[in-house]
This record gives sequence, structure tokens and C-alpha cells, in this order.
Amino acid sequence: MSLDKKITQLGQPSSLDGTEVLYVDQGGVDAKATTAQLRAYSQFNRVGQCQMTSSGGYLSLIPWNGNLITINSKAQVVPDAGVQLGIGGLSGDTNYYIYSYMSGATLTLEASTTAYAVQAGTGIVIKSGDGTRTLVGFARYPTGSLGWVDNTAVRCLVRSWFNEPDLAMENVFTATRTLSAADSAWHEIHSEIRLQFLSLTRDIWSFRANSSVYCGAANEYMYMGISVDGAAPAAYCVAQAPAINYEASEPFEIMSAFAEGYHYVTLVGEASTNVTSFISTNLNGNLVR
Amino acid sequence: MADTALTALPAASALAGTEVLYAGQTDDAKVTAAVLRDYFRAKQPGQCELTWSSSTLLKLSPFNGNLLTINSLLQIVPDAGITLLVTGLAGSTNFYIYAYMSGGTMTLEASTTAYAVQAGTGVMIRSGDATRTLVGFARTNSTPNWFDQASVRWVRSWFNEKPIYLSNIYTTPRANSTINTWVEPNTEIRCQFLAWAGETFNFRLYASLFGSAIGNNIFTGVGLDGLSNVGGSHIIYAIGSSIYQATKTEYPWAGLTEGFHYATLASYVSVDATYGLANLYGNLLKNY
Repeated sequence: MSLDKKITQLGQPSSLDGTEVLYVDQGGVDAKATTAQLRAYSQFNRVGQCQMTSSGGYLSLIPWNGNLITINSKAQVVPDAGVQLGIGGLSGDTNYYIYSYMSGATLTLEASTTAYAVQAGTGIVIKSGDGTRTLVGFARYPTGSLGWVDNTAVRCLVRSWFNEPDLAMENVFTATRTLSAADSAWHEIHSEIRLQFLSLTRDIWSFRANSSVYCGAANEYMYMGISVDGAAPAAYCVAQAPAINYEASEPFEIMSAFAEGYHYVTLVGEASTNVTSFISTNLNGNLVR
Repeated sequence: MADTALTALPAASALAGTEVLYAGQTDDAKVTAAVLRDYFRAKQPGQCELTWSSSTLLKLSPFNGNLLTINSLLQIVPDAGITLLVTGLAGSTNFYIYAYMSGGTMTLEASTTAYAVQAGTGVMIRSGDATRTLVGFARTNSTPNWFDQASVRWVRSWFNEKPIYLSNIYTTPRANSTINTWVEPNTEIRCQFLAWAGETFNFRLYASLFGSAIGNNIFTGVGLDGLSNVGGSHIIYAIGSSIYQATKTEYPWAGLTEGFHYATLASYVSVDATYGLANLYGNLLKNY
């Protein structure tokens, strides 16, 4: 038998190609395991050293604080340049879970409407019923778009399962917007202020509105709330004008969990008998960490 | 000597740390299992999450993996999770929740014994007992039941905790006619929570209110654990008789002591005020 040499420290898992053989010294008969087994064994330590982003109409999975991702119980390397996914064969206005899998030796992304599940025995979040697919994100693009759309100030439609950056949005009325339906019912003041987002099950989102309003009659009640998906607001604020065209401030917020999927928030108002105008209005929000 | 191939490594929890692994080459190279285990343990002491399951059960479930370090060994959190009954526990009490191995079974326990950093590993354990790893913090109500909802956050996970937020409202207009002293117009808007030591919770209070006459001075703030500590106080000057004005205040409570706290709407008036609508929100600020 050859001489033994002690290693003081193992190399990085990504440097192991799986062909190395390790032996367990157990006295009478040595036992051995391959580094492929060892790498699988170490997968718990590096579930997802990656981040999903969008750029140029493509989704990209890129390395993040390392470059390993667990797929089918093995640690796989996310290429330095990342891997990309276009929208070929997909439909607009549809929520897609983004999974990574190994196509031969190539890390690959797929978009699927099949929901995720926790894999028995590992705790890894996979495509339901298919341990070869590991969840890496959640995304959606509008019908008519030529590709995936980047997150912007008014929409967050690309979500990374691992190492996601902070998400924040803001939108404004570009002009004074008037609520002319004085019917004591809630109305969207103007759709231009909508914020669109995809929410995951564990998410908490906070949305805040700041508006200055005025009314054409004294003592008119001017209600304002934040609507989710066009529904009547569960909570709201109210101010009154002590005189015609007296401006009143209406700050408001909602903070809540949302069902997994696509949502939008918008400003809604209610007036009883007179026209209400909303000026200097902004709506902003963020994912609560 | 003859070598024997292993078809798979044993479970991490089965490694005693004394095994020696060799890399097959002309001159074999080796590392100890202890070195390997430390290497594996580098990042994730707890791939799990403690959550409220029901009024009688807390649950520890796998999260992005299923391993938890207990007594310096990696143990597997079962796929179905493990639960802790509230039965037998005292009411209105804060409990640290620890995981330990009862034979080969991962088990939870509730204890009022505080946690400590285990020497040599940095893992949070029950003080003086390394067989217990901290996984959460929970409070019982008087019944006792486990409790967790938007206005009451009494279940906290040490690992992989989802965002913590609080929300509560006045269900009907609440008046304050007690002048020149801080008053809690009604307790129904309280947001109750458990905090880990040093945490910061940020509270925002939105109210639509009015005074009975022009010129009433109406102070509104966020009271923490009562009225002796009111933050974010600001004033509304009533612009008319019973004219609604909307207002907002915000206050981040930093450096909280560990344990039970609550936030509430605090009011101070020169004549009187009525809060027609009020919403109190709070969320844990995390350092990312």
C-alpha cells in the first residue's frame, strides 16, 4: 500500500470533479467513498449560491456568494457567465415558476406553471413531483412583450428564490387626478399609479400612499384607500375640507401577506356629493424583509 | 491492506469525528471526519423554521434543507416536521424552544431557561446544556394556547424566520376627553409581540381624527408597553368643529429588551379628540 498523506484542508467543493476517492481508515479494512458522494453529502451547506435576474429580455441565473446549487441532491456549479432563459414557447400574463435542472452536464433553466414542493428527505424546494428540478425563481411578463421584463420602479415581476435583493417600487400621478363619481362608492382614481408585483407565499408587502386632496364643497368627506387587485379597501383614511378647495393631507398604508401570484395595488377614492381632486400623490411600496 | 468502497457515506450524525478519510493517489492523502464535518458545518447550523401550527402546536419544519446542528452533530429534521404541544405549560409565559435528540428522535421542548453561545461552536444552546439547540421563542396566552396572528406575534423562529409584521385597527371610533395627560383611548388597537434582545421594530400609525372645536391641540403617538414611553408624538391643530383630518406618525423602537412588548395608540389632548379611523402597523427591521 502506498504511503498516506494527510490533507490539512479540503479544497473548494466546486474544485472536486467527483472522480477523487476518499478512504475511511477503520483498522482492518479501509473504506472509501468518491468525492461525488462527498459533494452530495455536503450539499446541505450550499443550497443556492445563485441569484435569478433579468436582462435584455432574458432571465439569468448567476453565481452569488459562491457558485453551487443543489439539484437532485447533488451540488452543481452555476457557470460564471450564468445561464439564461428566453420566452420562447411561453405565454404572456402567466405566472411561471423557474426551475434549474441538469441537461446532461449543462445547467439549464425551465419555466413551468407547475407549483413547487418541499422535497422529502432533503428539504430542498423542487418542482412538485420532480426532484431533478430545483426552484430558483418566479416570473411573469406582459402579453406583447418581446421578452422577460426587468424589475422597475413600478413593477416587480422577476423574483429570485435565492439571495434576492431588496424590492421597492414607487409611482405617482403625473397630473391632478379627479374623482368625479360622487356616489359614495370606491373608484380607482387613475390606473397610471398602479404598482404590479409577484408575491411568494412567505412575502409581506408594505404599500404607502401620500396625497393632498381637495374638494369642491366644505365639509365633504374625502376617503382614500389602497386597493389590492381592484377590490374595495379593507382599511382607509378620511379627511374633510373645511372650505372649498382646501387641501388636506391623506397619508395611508397597508401591510399584509398576499396570496402567491400576480397582484397590483392602486389608489381608490370615495366621495359622497362633490368632485374630489388628488394632487401631489405618490404610491410606494416594498417587500418587507 | 484491502480497501472497501462505500456506496454512500453514513449520515452526518453518525460521524464520530475520529474517522479518517483518504484520497486515493500514489501517496494516499487523508483528512479526518472531524475536519470534514467542520467544513460542512461552515454555513448552516439550522435548515429549519419554527412556526405556529395551531393553538396547541408549534412546528419545526425543514427549510431549504433539513439539517440542524444539535450537540455538535448534524441531525435531520423530519420531512413532516416535529411539533410541540402546549399541554402542561404555564399561561402568559415566554418560552425558549429547544430541539434535542431523544434517542434517535428529534424532539422539541419549551423552557424558561435562557440560551447561551456554545463554546467552541458558536451554536445557540440552552444555557449549560449543549444537547439542546435553540430554535425559537414563543409565548402562551392565559388559556394557555400558542398564539400568532397579525396583531399578536408570539412565535419567533431562530432560523430562517419569515418577515414579521403587525397590524391592528380601531373597529369603531374611539374618543379621548381626558385632557393634558397621555391616554390610551382603547386597548383594541394594541400590537403585541415577542422581541429578541436588541431588535428594532418600526411602527407606523395612521389616524383620521377630529376635535370638537377649532384650535384643539391633539397629540398622537405610539406608546410602547404603556404610556410612559411614547414615540413619534406629533400634533394636529383642529381646523374646525368635528372636521376630519388624516395624520401619520412613525417611530422605530430600537434596542428592545428580550421578551414581551406591545405598541398602542397614545393620545394627549387639550380639549378632546375622536379617532374615527386608526391603523397601527409594525414590522421587524432586519439587518441585511
